[in-house]
Amino acid sequence: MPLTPTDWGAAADLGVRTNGSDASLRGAEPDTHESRQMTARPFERHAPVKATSGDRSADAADVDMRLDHPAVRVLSVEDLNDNQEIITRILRGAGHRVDCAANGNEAITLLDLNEYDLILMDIQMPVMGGIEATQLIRHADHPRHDIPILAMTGNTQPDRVEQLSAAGITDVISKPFRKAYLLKKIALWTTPDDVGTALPAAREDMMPPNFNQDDFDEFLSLMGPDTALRWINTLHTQLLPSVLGAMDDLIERPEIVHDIVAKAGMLGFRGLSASCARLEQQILGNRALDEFATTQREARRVNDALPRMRQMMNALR
Amino acid sequence: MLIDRKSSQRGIASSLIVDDDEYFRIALRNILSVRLGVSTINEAESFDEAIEYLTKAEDTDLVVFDLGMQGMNTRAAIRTVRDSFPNALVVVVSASCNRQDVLCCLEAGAHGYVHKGIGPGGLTSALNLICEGTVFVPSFLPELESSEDVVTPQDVGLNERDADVLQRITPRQTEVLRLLVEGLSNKGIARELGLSESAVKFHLSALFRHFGVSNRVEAATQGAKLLATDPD
Repeated sequence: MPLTPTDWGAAADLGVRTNGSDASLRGAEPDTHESRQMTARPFERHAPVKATSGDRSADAADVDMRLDHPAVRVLSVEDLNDNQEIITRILRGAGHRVDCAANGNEAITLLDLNEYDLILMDIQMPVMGGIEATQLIRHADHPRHDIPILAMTGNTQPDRVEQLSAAGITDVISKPFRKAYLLKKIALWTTPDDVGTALPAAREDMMPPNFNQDDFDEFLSLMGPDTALRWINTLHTQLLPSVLGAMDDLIERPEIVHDIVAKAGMLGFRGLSASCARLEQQILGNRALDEFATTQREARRVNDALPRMRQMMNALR
Repeated sequence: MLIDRKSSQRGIASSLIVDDDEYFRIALRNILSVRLGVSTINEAESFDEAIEYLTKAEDTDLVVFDLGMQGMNTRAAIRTVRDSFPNALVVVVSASCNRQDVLCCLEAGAHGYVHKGIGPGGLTSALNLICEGTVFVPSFLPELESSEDVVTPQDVGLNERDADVLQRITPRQTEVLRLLVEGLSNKGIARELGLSESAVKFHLSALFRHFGVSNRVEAATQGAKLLATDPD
């Protein structure tokens, strides 16, 4: 049975939808909206925990708070007060500690004064923007040059992502985002596991369930990190966005699905590869696209894992 | 996965990869050179390029084909290579998991069909088995679930004889035949189609075999009849 757009609208939290305005974050997080979305996604494995303590005056309606991750210290860099308030509320609600900076300059000052585990970085800000601040922090002499910096941006076009990556951004969180997505990204980048010292498998929980580590290791040993990086980037910026978008657009381009079968399979993403192979048969056979929901679920998981793999490859180069 | 095993194991010295996806050509190249120890590996992006290469390097042991490249009639292409280079192993490496594609390749004489989704380790094992003389087919082949998708020539509006003829001649060979019927020399055909003369000779000998004739005049006579019935 074909799905309707509302069934797979969840793609919005994966950075595939772009929205040029920073202000688009405003009002993105009403709790009722969030909880409705969560119940509509039964495949998200959450362990809902009721809030029990802490400064939670504004979070009475939060029921899906995740405490299955360690609390961390976050520096949130954002010039718009409304956005800052939303981010702060989400993070504190999840048990994290948050300090706020209104621009890159303030961020660098605070980074000198306090210990942080991660930075959330807006890109367009007065005084000093996110790219410049990131470049300064990434300078080899900076004592915290290895801190994860997650860009918060409405522009996730491939060339923009490349630009952010070149500046030293660790990962991109596209606006508007969902609470669960933001928390997941923070957990991903603050879970103890020194980047570069282990292959992605070292953190199996970060990889999709149908990821085959042996395949990826074999691929890496055959092709080297540079080529692996090219494949990962192609999957991430050229192929997956089509699968995470609208079904009607994808039907017109079965060659994308065909391409993913091979590339995902070679990188060890067997679940995605197999699902795309079945979807291709359904598209070419003009049959009901029963496989589409599975393909999107697999694609989402792979999409989430790719930035970390990219980081690993960069470290190996 | 084994359906037959030939007696002798072959060492592969010279190979040709035919795939329009550059990424995959590089991956296959590394698998062949690093894991299978193949010393000579060449690449072609199209069937035309493959034929140009094969007519010059007849000692090629192994030809690895992708399916569905532009201007390629799979069955005819595999058949042509099998007929003309009987000593070469022909392997199809494709992302398609359509049973009909597999059966069609085997029917045309391929020594194996390897699905791209099985990953680098799986590809290495499959290629090793094929080089050892095993005919390799994917594990989904016995699944009959998708057999309803079989597209018969009648479904696409061809009568059986025309369909048969069209499936046995590649689009390129049809062009060569057309120019032959028009009376062009090998050199003229080569110039017209942007091919080398050796490639034209190659296509002509394939056509001679197809018609069961021994010279170009007979082939042109047969060809004229065939082209007269061809809707194009």
